[in-house]
Amino acid sequence: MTAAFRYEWRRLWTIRSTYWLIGGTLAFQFLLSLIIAASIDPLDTVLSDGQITSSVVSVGASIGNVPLFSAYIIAMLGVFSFGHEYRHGMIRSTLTAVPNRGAVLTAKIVTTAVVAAGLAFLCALIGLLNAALFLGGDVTVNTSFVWKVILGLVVYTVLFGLCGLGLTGLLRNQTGALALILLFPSVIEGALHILMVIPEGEDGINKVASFLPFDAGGQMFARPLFSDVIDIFGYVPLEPLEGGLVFGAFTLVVAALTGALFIVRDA
Amino acid sequence: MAVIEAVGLGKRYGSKPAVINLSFRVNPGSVTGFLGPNGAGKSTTMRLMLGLDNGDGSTTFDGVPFRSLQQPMRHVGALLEASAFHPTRKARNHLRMLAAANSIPNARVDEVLALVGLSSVAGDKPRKFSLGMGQRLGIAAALLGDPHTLILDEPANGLDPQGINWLRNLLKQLASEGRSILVSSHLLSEMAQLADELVVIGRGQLITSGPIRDFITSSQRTSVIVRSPDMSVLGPALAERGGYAVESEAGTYSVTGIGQTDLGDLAHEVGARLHELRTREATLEEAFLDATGMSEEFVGQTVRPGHQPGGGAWLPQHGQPPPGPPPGPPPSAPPVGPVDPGAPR
Repeated sequence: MTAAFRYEWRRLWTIRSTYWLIGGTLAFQFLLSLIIAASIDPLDTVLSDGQITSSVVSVGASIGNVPLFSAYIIAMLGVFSFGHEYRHGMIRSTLTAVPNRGAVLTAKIVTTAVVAAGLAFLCALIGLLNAALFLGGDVTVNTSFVWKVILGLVVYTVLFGLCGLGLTGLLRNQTGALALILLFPSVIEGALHILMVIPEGEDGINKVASFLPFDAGGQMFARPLFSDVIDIFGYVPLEPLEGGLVFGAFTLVVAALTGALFIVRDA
Repeated sequence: MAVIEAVGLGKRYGSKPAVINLSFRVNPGSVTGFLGPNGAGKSTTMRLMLGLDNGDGSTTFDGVPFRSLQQPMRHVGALLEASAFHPTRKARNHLRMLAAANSIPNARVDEVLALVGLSSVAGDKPRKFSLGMGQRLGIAAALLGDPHTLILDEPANGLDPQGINWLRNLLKQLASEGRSILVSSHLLSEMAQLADELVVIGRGQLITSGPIRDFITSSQRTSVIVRSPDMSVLGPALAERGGYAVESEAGTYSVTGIGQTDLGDLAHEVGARLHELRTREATLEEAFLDATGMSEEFVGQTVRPGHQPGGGAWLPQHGQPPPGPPPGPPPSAPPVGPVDPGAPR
């Protein structure tokens, strides 16, 4: 198992894409959180201190209806973890260096999760720093509310990254997986959401809408102000823990399917 | 020292069999050539041996399956395809990554880079590499763990003549150190100079295996060249003994089915004078074409110079072709032997 970890760790840090994805994520987070923090007037909003800080930390995602952009970028690390194996014909070299496929997959999962968690947390700290710098005088930044949101977005980012990894392992096609991981939460799930939620009176379907995996996962960090407005169509978002469990279960299913196929398929 | 033992290898793609009950052995201290027409199943076999494809049978390296080897690159080095590397990962880093999984020190990376002649581009990205350079990088990866066994799929692909010569000497040297080496190649002239043993497959099945010398001498294209002014006497006599003669040039016959010594004795018995008697050994290419003639997966058409599409048949002009391919150049006269032993010259 340690051989697989050594291999995967070396694999990750010897390609340029790792650096530009990490650099891009941090730069994006810094600039966006700075702009948001600088543009909010705490005295001219109905948001609570926790919501204001969270919106800076999550670059607007905690307010709802805005994707957690950093998670999308970080998910590409997961996609590339498997994608490069298949796109560049590396998978056979990998498996002749480490024949234990279970170990290879485990190393990829753990490495992706650790890097995603670390990067998401670093992004949150950057957001907190900007919030403290620009809003610290009027807003209490360091609250349990904010730290729960940070926990949620870190877990969400990790699961998002693992979904990217898993979908790439399933498809064995980097471009297809990249398109899927970017479009599924934003476009496909969004469209399904509208189709399910708009017809009024269909309570069963409305309930299913809240179980769409990425939407459910988003509840881990979403603290919308106008949740009662969303309720107009009968859509009731899951609680953060429920949403996390749904998204976690989805990720687990994807990972299990990927693992099973990775072991039985030809390399 | 390791023996590769492949037993009952089998693989199907849907309803199509790719490898069928294939068994062979590769001995230490030898280079074993792995030959077969396109689509014969060579690459699939190699992947099966390394546990990369799922299928029937088993392959062991000194009794241990590849997937059970600890630090496998220290036991078995493999080159399965050219350009199996990330285009922007530097050559040295590519090898260091593989080395990391097998606890191979970084110093060894620089050693193998020097061995394959890539030291000067060790810090370059392989996307700039030619096919030959990529192949050298793959060979370096295979040699990284200083393994006792090498499995190389078309390692000479993309190499220039100097590179091929270097590879040949390298593999011979490694074999002389007691390693087991299995090499597939389409370069038969190269294989003839390199291999000690052969495994020949066609349509996924074993055609033959054994020493390359036996393979060549058993070919139907190995023949006895005989020149005699008394062929009208000798021809019927050798036909009676199961020989088959084809006139390859004026007065010179190429005889199969009877050896040089027996033919000399026969000439003496029937009182035929011999002006020339020698054995013409088949080339590896001829022997290979003989052995795999019916096993080609993909067969192209022959185009005759000046041939008009749809313009007639393709039958031989001088009667029926002899059983098996004609030795040497095309016959200028009908064959002498069981078909027509006394044909006029």
